[in-house]
Amino acid sequence: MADLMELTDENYADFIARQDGILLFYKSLCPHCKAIKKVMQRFAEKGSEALMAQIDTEANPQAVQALEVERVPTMILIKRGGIVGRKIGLLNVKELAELYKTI
Amino acid sequence: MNKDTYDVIIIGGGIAGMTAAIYAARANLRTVVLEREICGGLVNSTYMVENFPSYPAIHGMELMGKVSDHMRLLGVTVEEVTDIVEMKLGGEWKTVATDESAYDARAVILATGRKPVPLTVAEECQQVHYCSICDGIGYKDKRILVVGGGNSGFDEALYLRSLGVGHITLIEMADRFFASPLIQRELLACTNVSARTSTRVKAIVSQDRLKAVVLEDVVTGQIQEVSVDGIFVYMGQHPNTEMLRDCIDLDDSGYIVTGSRMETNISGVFAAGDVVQKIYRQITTAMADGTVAALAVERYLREHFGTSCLNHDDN
Ligand SMILES: Cc1cc2nc3c(=O)[nH]c(=O)nc-3n(C[C@H](O)[C@H](O)[C@H](O)COP(=O)(O)OP(=O)(O)OC[C@H]3O[C@@H](n4cnc5c(N)ncnc54)[C@H](O)[C@@H]3O)c2cc1C
Repeated sequence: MADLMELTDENYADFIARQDGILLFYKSLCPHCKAIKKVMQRFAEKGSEALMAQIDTEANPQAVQALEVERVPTMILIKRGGIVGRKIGLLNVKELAELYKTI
Repeated sequence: MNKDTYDVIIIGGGIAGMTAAIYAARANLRTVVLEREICGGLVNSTYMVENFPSYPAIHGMELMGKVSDHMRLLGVTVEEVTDIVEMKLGGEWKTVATDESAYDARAVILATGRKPVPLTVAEECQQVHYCSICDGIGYKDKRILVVGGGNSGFDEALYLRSLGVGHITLIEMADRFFASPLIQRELLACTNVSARTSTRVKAIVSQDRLKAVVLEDVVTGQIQEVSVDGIFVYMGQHPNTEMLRDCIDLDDSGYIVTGSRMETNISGVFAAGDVVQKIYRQITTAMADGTVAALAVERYLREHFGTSCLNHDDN
């Protein structure tokens, strides 16, 4: 399984502006974050065009503040150079695919 | 849909399921673990484990990472974030179907553990949480309510305090706290903590976000509104046995009834860990169950179907 691209305070805004993708806000000792990461990897393996990235909330406070992330895991859904939705908490691969298609 | 054949299917990749997988793999059984989320189970959400022999203190997730690495090293097939949609446990061959594949085996170990008892309040509220490691970050300098006066409630309150939470109110419905005296002393000595027994959440007050909770004294009936920004719930656990209700013998509380070899009422189906009817639910007791279940599976397969169930060279 390919790892998610690791972003920081310096480059997350650029990712949002340029990619169709999903950005996961996570914490290293958070089991639900690890599960969502697996779900995103599975979604990518199934042929999703969305680029998958993650950002560590403990090391990147500016991104956390700017996007008002209060809980992990939070997924920021990005299309056409902008944020089109967000999803907090757990969901499965099918639900993620459906969510990303419909937003 | 793919169909894969194994010697044993383990449902649930918590410490019980992973221990069973390690023993089964070392007994040369082709083993698959099917896990709804990620391996590690409840222990993943325990900030610090301090009673696991060999580590005086270790993060739950780190400990489970080590067990998971050990299991994978032995060649166990591990399917995570997978949803089981159907199980046929009755015949000689058992089939478990997930959303993507189907698995056949002559033995199954059920190790699905437990899940938190939810707080029942009338409204859906985004600020009601069950995992402080996951959801604690937003509460620096804020006021929170912790529901549950057992070890989990006190432990998690201490963890939330370490994150810089402004004030903690801890409540317990019974007339005393059940946490160990040591941890009670540690938390109750803190200046920004108040705790009360015989108290329950009667309602929540929210407008977009949580504003307050209405607490009720269950003895006097007295009501008090307390402003809080978040609620963390540790009111105990329910067994994950909904999908087994029609086929496996369960006790009145929904726990699986097993014999001394962790066998259930169905031949070839075993169970291990917190999901089993027993008195003490700890990491070490779940490991013991997993060990017994795997050894009993090996024996069951050998006695009923000969030394090798599958041709291991055919993999
Ligand atoms: C807050 C808290 C703190 C604790 N602290 C300690 C401690 O410090 N020391 C200690 O020894 N014990 C502690 N315990 C107890 C310990 O966590 C449990 O005894 C242990 O986790 C039991 O392991 P298990 O594998 O049986 O179940 P679980 O850990 O619950 O694992 C079950 C697994 O099965 C999966 N599952 C469930 N249903 C399905 C399904 N349908 N399909 C696929 N997978 C499924 C779940 O996702 C989970 O991963 C604590 C418990 C709690 C709640």
